[in-house]
Amino acid sequence: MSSIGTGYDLSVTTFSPDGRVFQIEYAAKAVDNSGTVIGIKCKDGIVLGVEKLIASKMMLPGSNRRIHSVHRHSGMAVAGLAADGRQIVARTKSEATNYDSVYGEPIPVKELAERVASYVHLCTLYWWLRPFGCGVILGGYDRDGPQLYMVEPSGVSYRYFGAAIGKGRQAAKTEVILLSISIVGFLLAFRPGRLDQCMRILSLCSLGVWGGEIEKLKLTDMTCRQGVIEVAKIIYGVHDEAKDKDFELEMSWVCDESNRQHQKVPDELLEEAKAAAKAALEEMDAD
Amino acid sequence: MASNLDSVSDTQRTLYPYVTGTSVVALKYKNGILMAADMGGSYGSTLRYKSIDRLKPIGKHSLLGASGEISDFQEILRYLDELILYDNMWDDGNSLGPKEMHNYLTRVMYNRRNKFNPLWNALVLGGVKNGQKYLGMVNMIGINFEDNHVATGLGNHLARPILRDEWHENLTFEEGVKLLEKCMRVLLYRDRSAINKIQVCAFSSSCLC
Repeated sequence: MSSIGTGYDLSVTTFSPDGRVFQIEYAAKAVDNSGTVIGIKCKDGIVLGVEKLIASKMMLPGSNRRIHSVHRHSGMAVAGLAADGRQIVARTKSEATNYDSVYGEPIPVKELAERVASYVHLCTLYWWLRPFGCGVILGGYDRDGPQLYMVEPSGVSYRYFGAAIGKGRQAAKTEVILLSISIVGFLLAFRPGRLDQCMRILSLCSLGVWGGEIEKLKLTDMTCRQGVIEVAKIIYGVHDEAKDKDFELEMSWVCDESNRQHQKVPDELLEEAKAAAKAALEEMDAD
Repeated sequence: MASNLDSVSDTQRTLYPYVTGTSVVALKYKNGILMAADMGGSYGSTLRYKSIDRLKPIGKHSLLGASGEISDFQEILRYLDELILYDNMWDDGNSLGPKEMHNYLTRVMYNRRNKFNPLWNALVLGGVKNGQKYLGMVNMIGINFEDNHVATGLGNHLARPILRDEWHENLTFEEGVKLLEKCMRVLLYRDRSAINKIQVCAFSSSCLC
């Protein structure tokens, strides 16, 4: 899939002969190298989770927040270049407060996602700017219920019921798909050439590790409380012990239980989720 | 100031208040703060609005009462709303307390006064944070202070003498309310712009009621 765009990849304002803008694709690679970020939409809200890879043992736990509130009702998890992410979060906060002060109501999540996407896209249009090297998962709860959007460095933004970016996104997405589509065969049909993935899926199915029996798990029926446990399990599962150092799990939610406010997942629930995830991992290793 | 001669900046200055609220009275009691105000908005000498909420909770720790121009009070509430929002978004377990809010309001009021465009209010800010009670006042020219009992407008002349005599440390909730009611009664007798519908708000370390 990746090719060197010799000569056509020097500027974000240059198309290659096959119609690609390489600088944007390279920006996406920066996101791929970051720790996994997951978002899921449950029945009553959104759960966001981040696998925060710890760069140095001297860092205090709880520092280097990757999930930020952008308004009372919405939050954003960032993957990729941290400084670029900070810029996007600042802009999003500003858009949200501006909408609120002009229109008197919290910004609809759809509108916010469009504004973030426009801003990210803006930086892909001029040769004197570079694209943002970070992808963002935006979750919020407005009049139309909980919604989840993902914005990529190219400036595209789609609405999802489950999204993952970063290193372990393929594996995580598989888990998320498993959680929401109960038929595994459906997946096999889609991935005829990827036997390794199918084997992994099969093994997971037979172990029934992730949240009990996969067939029974559906995002549409899951509450955020359950969703928090599932997200923790997925992140612990996709974390590559061999390649990466230690990590810290950061999670947040917006749901009916949190009064539709975006906030960190309460400590006891976070501990419960971590314990369940570690237990699930051990079960899998035991087999 | 050169802007006095500039006709453009003239139209941006507050010259007179239009819809005004009358006194606010507040005192510290054993568990926190008690604050009272009537619910009237006068349009000059007409008692035009009879259900204006002049006491508002701000954030987790404070209560704000305002007298003076109601539209300026609403503007102040918008500033504070944004301040509290940004404070909450840090999500770091800390939050702005009454002392910080009072300081912020003082800076806002004083700087507006220096631009000859005041927010035509006298504000009472009270609250409890980490068990510490705080009660302060700031007015449109930026005068601010902290005390065990404060009042605005005519309350300073009619209510505070009563409070100076009868206030003591460790007032219970019931005693505090009775004392405030006494002050509000005197204000109703003697203040032309007072109405007979009052609001009393208590803020203690355990709840906001």
